[in-house]
Amino acid sequence: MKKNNFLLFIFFAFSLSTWAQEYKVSGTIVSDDDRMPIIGANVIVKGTTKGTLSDANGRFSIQVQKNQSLVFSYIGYQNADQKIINNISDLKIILKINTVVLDEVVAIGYGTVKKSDLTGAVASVSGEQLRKLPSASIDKALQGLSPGVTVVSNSGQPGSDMVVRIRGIGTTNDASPLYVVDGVMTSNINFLSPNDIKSVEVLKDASASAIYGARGANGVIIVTTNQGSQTGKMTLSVDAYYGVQNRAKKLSLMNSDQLSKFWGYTGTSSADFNNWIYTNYSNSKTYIPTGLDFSSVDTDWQDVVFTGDAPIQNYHVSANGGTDKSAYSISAGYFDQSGIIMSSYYKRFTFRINSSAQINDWLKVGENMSMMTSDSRGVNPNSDQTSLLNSAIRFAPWDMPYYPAGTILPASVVDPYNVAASTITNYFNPISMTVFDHPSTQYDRLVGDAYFEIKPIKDLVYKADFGIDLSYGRNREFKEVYKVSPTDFFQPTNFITAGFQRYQTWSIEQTLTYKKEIGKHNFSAMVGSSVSEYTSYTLGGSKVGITYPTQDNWYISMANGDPAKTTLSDGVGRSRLASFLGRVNYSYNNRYLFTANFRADGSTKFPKNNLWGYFPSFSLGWKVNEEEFFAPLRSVVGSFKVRAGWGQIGNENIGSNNFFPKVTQGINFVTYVFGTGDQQIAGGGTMTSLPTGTLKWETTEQSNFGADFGILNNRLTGSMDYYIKDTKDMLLTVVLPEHIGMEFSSPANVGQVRNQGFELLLNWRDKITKKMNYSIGGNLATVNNEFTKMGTSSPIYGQGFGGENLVVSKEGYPLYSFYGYTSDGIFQNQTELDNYVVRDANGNPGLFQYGADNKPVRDANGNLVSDPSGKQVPITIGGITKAGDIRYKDLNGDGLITDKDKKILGSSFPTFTYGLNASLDYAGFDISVFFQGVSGNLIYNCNRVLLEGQVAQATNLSTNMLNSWTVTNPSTTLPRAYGNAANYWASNRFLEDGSYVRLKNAQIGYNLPKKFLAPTKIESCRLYVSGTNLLTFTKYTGYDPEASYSGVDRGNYPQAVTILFGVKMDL
Amino acid sequence: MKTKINLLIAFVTTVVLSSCNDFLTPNPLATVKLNDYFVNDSAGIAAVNAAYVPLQWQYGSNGLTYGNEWFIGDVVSDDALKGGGGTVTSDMNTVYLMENFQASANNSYLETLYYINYQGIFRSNFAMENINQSMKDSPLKTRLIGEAKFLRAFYHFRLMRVFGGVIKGDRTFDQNDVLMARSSKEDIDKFIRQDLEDAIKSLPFKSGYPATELGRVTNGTAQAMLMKVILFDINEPFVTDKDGDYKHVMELGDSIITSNQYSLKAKYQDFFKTFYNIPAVVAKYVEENGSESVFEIQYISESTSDWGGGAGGLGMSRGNYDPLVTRSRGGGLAGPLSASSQTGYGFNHPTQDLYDEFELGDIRRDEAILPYDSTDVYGIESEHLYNNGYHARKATLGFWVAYKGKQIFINPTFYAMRSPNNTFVIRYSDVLLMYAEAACERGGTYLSAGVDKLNLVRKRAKDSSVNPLDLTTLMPFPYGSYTNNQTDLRTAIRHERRVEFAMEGQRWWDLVRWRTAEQVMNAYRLKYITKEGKDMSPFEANKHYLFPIPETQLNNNPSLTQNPGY
Repeated sequence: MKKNNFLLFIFFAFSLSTWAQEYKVSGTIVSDDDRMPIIGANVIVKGTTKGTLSDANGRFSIQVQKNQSLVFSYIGYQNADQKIINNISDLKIILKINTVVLDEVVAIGYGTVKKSDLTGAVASVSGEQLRKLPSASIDKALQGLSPGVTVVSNSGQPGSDMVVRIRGIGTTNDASPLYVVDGVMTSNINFLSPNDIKSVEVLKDASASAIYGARGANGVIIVTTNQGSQTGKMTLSVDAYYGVQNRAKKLSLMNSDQLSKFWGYTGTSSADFNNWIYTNYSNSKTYIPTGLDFSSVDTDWQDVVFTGDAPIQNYHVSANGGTDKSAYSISAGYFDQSGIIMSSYYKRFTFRINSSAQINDWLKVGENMSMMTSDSRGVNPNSDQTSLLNSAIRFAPWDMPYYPAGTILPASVVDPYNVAASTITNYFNPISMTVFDHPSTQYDRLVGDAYFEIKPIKDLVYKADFGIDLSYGRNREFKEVYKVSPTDFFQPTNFITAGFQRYQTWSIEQTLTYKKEIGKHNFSAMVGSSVSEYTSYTLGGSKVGITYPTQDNWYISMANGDPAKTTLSDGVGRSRLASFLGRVNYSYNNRYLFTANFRADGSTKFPKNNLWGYFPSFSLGWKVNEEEFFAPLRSVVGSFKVRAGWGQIGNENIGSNNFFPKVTQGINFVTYVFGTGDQQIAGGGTMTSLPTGTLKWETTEQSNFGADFGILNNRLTGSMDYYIKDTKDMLLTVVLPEHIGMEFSSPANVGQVRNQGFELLLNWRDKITKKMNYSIGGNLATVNNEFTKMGTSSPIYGQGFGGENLVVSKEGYPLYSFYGYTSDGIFQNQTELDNYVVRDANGNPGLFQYGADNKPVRDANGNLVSDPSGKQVPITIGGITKAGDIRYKDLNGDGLITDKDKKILGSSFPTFTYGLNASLDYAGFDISVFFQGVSGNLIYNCNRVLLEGQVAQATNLSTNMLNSWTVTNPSTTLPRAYGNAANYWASNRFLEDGSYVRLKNAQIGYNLPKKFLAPTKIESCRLYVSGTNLLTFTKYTGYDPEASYSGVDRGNYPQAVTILFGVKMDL
Repeated sequence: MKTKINLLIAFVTTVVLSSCNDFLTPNPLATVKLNDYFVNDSAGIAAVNAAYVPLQWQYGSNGLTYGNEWFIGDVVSDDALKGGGGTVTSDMNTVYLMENFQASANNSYLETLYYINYQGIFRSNFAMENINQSMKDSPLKTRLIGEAKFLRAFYHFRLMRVFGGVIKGDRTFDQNDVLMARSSKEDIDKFIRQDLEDAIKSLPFKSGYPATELGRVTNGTAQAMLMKVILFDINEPFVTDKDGDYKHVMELGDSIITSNQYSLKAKYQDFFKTFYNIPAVVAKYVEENGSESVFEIQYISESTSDWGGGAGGLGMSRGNYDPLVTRSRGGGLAGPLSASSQTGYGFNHPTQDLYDEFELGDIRRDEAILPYDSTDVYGIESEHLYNNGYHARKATLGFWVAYKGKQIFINPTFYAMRSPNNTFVIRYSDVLLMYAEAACERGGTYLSAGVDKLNLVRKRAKDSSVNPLDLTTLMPFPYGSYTNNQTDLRTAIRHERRVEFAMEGQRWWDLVRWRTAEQVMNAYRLKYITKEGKDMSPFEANKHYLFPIPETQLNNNPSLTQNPGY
């Protein structure tokens, strides 16, 4: 005992004797993979704020006290600890690359949580991954990165918004998710450069997103922007890329020779051809200059409207820095994209600043501010039959874009740019759509918030956040006077229209968070409130007759035409939300996790008795790997967690003022005229829409079961989820039957929709040699969408192409199912047509009663009267059916092809969607590929209706039509040209398999060696080449299988193939 | 510190909580609540004005097409061809299918008609119900109710003659009225007649309105409309007392005639021309709502309400679209004075058959039809190559003026898309001919009254250039002894209606109500079998007197049934 005491004494004495002693430590920090020095790594004395950074050679030097430890850290590397027991001058620290980031912190809304403690279905995507796809906004880049998140571009037009759907469509209303940018809720993130984004979290299930209550029903995307670091280190990053975009595909259309012969031209000389044009297809000779040689023209209109090598470029500079007391981040960016279709473009400047300061130990303040200003021009991309692309594919190939220089135009033509007229029919020359019309849109947006955090006592934090989202739009369009042809003109006076819009959302949010750890009990709770108001003001006007219409004079005030043609509008809208929210997190022994959320929302969009919606959610997690019984497995399965959740969320995504009856006044729709001579407008007032007095919150109820795992030393990580999501009291704009007599439709709570699906995410990450790392990841999701309960209303039909019902939402089927006739081949000859008889349900020829007039007898409803001893009835399709026309199936066997023979033909929902990515890096080189695909969906190809279904010789056609049915070429797939109008009814003929796999992105990068950079102040520099949409595998015959989220491709603006070169530098 | 923070939280929370419901129930901005609206007479007037508006609509929203009634009235009959651009089949293919008796339920033109008229019905009911509730009894209230009843009857009539028995809009409908079944045609007929009888009692004479209010329906309008309705259904099986009905038509006619509110214009062409005083190029609407006008749909020249007319479609209100739609596609008709944009869409081409119906010396032919070889035309146009050579002229009335010896086309107000010209629904000559028809059908001693009325119309129709001094003598009549033979008189009246109202959208309905469409249209098809008859299907009497109920409506309302054969 004494001896022991003595030793203890010696030990203490020794310790004391060295207490004041400081060691001097210096050394080098190198990377594990390439043994290159790491510049700017943090070296901190553990437990203190004392620290330093490694220099350009990876060297550092620091004084420590005896027995203290040094912590070495660098972004992307695992931390290393080193206890210091004497002076060292050549300490070599090798930092290992952080391959698995299981315990990163993820944002979950009003707070963060360690990923391993998550109980809901949350997908994280780093900014790094998102930036691989060149685009103005990150939503496009989310596609294929996370299972269950569907992103479809409704248009490839620069600057156009994407359609983001999380776990299917829960509502036929607006199903867009909510974006939360650093705590500020918004529906659109076009103000953020992808370079400003640090990470994105997608809250997919109700238990995760319920804290956003009213606005979370369609999922929540939480965006965290780059914040200043608190390490004392300052970095400046420069990002730049420049690339070119091209169309992916061209439709095969007839050339001049093919089309003219198809239309019966038999001549041989150019004089013959010109004569043929003038005789048959001249829209009006009055407008076509004489002496043109149409025989020498063969315009490929697709080449005219698709501009090759359209540039895309992006420049971004950011500075980050800070100390442990304050941090800041500043950035500026410029994005500029020209469209692959002529005259479309999008240009944008973005600025962003955020900073925070710890004023004292109980008060922290901070702010985020983003500003953007954009300028764009579109080309009416998706409008039915009248878009620039629609016009281009239908224009005759013998028509020229411009008349040759020096052409003398007829007196009636007003055409300063020599734009040529169409020789046939009603079409606008695509050129005239762009050169005589000058639309432009400017858009400015300011999004920001300021907050303060108070810690009144230990473990308690009060946070107040004041947010504003303010935007101004300015649109202006000047139309020149011109007359190219009797249909392609704008006369008699030029026209200017301009509008100004202001949209504002302000919000005030307060939360109170309490966290406590007592032994194995870990507890946190949060309560809060939120109020917000959205207002919109729009001001617009138009006038005719600017006398000197140079571009500098395109203003309404410069117009002095007919005052009666002046219009003015002044509109306003407002809605408000108030909310109370709360959350409890509890975990026991780091094994059992429990979360409960509650939110109450009140909205001005609902009547007084239905103002409030109440939305609870619960979730549980169990870290199985922490259990004793799991110990034998741990060497293989490092982590394993199961989780389950249930919750309800609300949706109020409808317009305001829909629940009380209101009177429409003003000039449109309600004013009439009385009197003689100069008649006067008489004001009117009536109802043009019906109120829905019972309007209430739409509720989405979701159950989620999932598991997360890490296997083989976390080289394989993954998660899987199964969910059932029921949208109840779905808010839907209900198109009432027309006998009700309403001009506008109103929203109502209608029916119930179920989305259920399975999601799988797997990642494998390993190294082949010390210098060669690779990873392979994939994800797969299925969504099964069904309109489960229809409420009291009849099926909801939607219009397709040209006024016919093409889609229907009907109980028991997916929303927006395709609906139409079933084609049953082509009548090959008259005999076949004559013999085509009505068949009963068993496919047997039906026998029916015949009258004295030798015509089949019909009952009062027009149906045939069955008669076993009667005759067979030849079928009637539409009007006069002839050989070569489509034979439709007479599903109800009444001898007629009527709307009763339409049925549900399929759905635009894929059976599954998937993404696959792989990357490899070696000695500074990195290479990555990313594939994305969907399978099992249908697309209605409207371009084929235009190019293969025409009833008249009025437009150019697909070369497929060269093989259409004729007496001598009895095709079995394409009906005769210009046949029965019924040939282009909505049917399965134009429905195509929309499955595709696309090489979304391939990238090769090279990090300049640190050795090479060492003499400069540049810390790192990566050069890369990136290609987007390089390969597409699909059976779809339209421009782009991705072009339409609704599954109806109206000739939508296709995605571009982009190849670009970029550089990223850190200083 | 701690106390201060707690107080702050408590304060903020309390304020938010207590003001929450106030915050969430603000007064709506720029919105008039129905409950606040009907507080004075002008609200009642406004509600009735709004019920007139769907009369003007000629274009539907959201994929629908034109709703002009002459697409049936003229084009489906033997009087006109659809015309239009491209080749004859493609432009307004829906109407092409109708004129060839191949229409199916997905016909968007028919849906436009359906859509427009039911909005009119709602608005009439809305006005009636709210005026009854909010206004004290007064002559104004009586008149407004009368106007609304007339309009409700008129919209029902327009539906009935296309679709047969339809859903009866006897009150404002709402979401609970989705599953409405069709009423029988007899029911609708009764309903229309009752509304018109009520309107006759409530409406003032035309002279009872100040000049600034002309265009509102009158006592005479309602009586003439009732004559039309009775005659339209006269051959329906449910009509048991035909003679009583004809008698009622004559009584109504007598009442209109003796009211001295209406008279025939001295010259037929006055009605369709000289609106503009050239060269002053100032619009003079000399004839709108004039002495011969019993019911006109009112339009003014206006800059707004262009294609689509704003958010919900149903454009072209307040400006008449017919002139543009029917005007020639080519520039050849334009002439030197016109704005060069005044070419049109070239629909509604008169047929050779109609052209041939006119007697020699009938001034009305050249008012209704402009032949392509007319010296009025500047140059030959491409559209003659695929359409016949005639253009409708009446709808473009007011745009034709004499200039250096030629008729030229002009629109001084320059609203190329929207003309101020009113659309005639009932002219006084229609009242006279309906009277003549009823008298003829009653026969016997009434024949002479019918002959008198017929001759009033015929006298005016003679071309004054043939016999400039004698406008009272009649043209030679090729239809036999109509002055004392009922069959010949019937033939004469039917001929007279065709030429008097040529290209005014009446012909088809006449063929329908006389039940002669089967015979006339099948004969027409065979007569022109190598031309416009070649794509026509035979007219089936058990099917083609009615058109199909729109497919979208059958889909949206399972209680609705389709017409036989469709």
